[in-house]
Amino acid sequence: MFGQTISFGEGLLVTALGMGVVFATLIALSYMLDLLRILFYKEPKAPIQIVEKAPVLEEPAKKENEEELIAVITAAVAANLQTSTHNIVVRNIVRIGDQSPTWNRLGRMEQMNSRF
Amino acid sequence: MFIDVIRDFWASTGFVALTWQQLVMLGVACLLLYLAIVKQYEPLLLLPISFGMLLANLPLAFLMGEPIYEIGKDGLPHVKQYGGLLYYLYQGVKLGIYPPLIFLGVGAMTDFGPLIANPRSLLLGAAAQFGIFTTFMGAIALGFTGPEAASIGIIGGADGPTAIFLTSKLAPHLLGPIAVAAYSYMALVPIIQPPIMKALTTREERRTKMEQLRPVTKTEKVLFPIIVTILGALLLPSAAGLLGMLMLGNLFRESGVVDRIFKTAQNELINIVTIFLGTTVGATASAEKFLRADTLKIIALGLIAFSIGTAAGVLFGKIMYIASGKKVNPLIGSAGVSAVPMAARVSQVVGQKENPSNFLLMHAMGPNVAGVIGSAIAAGVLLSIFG
Repeated sequence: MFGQTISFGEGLLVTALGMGVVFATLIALSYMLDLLRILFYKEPKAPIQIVEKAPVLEEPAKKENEEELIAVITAAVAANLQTSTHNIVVRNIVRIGDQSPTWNRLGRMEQMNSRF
Repeated sequence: MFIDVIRDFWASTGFVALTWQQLVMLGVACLLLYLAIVKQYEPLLLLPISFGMLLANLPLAFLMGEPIYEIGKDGLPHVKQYGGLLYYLYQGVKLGIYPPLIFLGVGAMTDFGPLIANPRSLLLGAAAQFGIFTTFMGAIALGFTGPEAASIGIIGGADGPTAIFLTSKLAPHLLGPIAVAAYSYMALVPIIQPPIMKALTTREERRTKMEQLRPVTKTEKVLFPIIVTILGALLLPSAAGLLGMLMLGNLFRESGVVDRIFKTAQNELINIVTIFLGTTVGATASAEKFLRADTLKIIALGLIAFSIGTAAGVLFGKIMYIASGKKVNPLIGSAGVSAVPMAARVSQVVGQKENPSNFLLMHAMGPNVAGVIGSAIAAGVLLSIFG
């Protein structure tokens, strides 16, 4: 379009064209994304309140780790329910003893160890 | 007799042929190696680049030498002497093969989720490209030709592969200085950006907390790369190489069905290509091409490009801050210059200094990855004008 050397005015033209194309493309893209959201995304319902019973590790959690533990469990529950932690209110966490038969437990342990 | 042998051997060594310019270049290469190894400035790229520079400036090694042909009796050219090792590896840069392959890996590593969740952050990625064009104007004013000015401006895109891609097509003789400037400034983003960000925003603006991003469905994540490729390549066929590979890599990631090639793209492939790209780009910086006044101009212009890109992003962030009713923190605008993920981290750090409970990282990742798309498009525009 231009020769080797270009004047300042031609440079301004290139700038206007360049910024114009960049903006136009990205604006078009952002509307495309809005369309995607309308088509494929459903708003989650109002905050789900769940009292979660989560099995955790056998050894008792130490006092100073409790907050961290609650945060981790909340995050895990949120991930599992595919929602945000903001939609979950943790009221109580109860540890459930492992009542599965020994054979199951052994099988599970073998499975886990084989992944290392 | 013995003395003659010694003298002949001495004459065949590089010491005799070493010029002072090459000596200076060896010094520059060692300085860059120091920055890469001790200071850890983008070592993954700066180390191969500076070593390539070192290799190219050793006389008589002929590593970047072109093959020499002679016309045979049958009237056809025959190879008289093959080219050097780096010459052949350099063909991947010259023909524009390596940068798109790097983009394939970058796409595989990038999560476009934050961008899909907040489509308006694409605008910030566009605004930050202003640095490219301002610098382009500056380079023209300093007497560079159109294609040269375009290659220098793209440093402001803060995107190494894009800068190398465009420069290798438009102004291959400037590849060394431009690559060195681009990667050095990308490493210096945490030093260049914060003062600009603070100067352009008020304390209240910096303390703005943003709403949590919505979760993004898998359908959206899979459709995104396909749509961007179709839209981008139709609009700007010259950007199709970079954009297409970036999005193919991302589709590897999001589709979830090609785990093996996804892993290769983001690890082995990108690493192998990085070695070739870095070394050969460094090797283009031979003494006669690098030791010129133009190099200093390019390095100065590169800094301007980065600064203006950052400023434009932040200023556009301020516009969005006002337009959105104080819901958008203008600090995320600076992440629009790409330099993934360093620039986003800078937004996070600067924001958290004002308000320790503020987490801007994910919000800044939106403009950050938008900046990659934006600079690829800007490169496409410049390529279609000057190519």
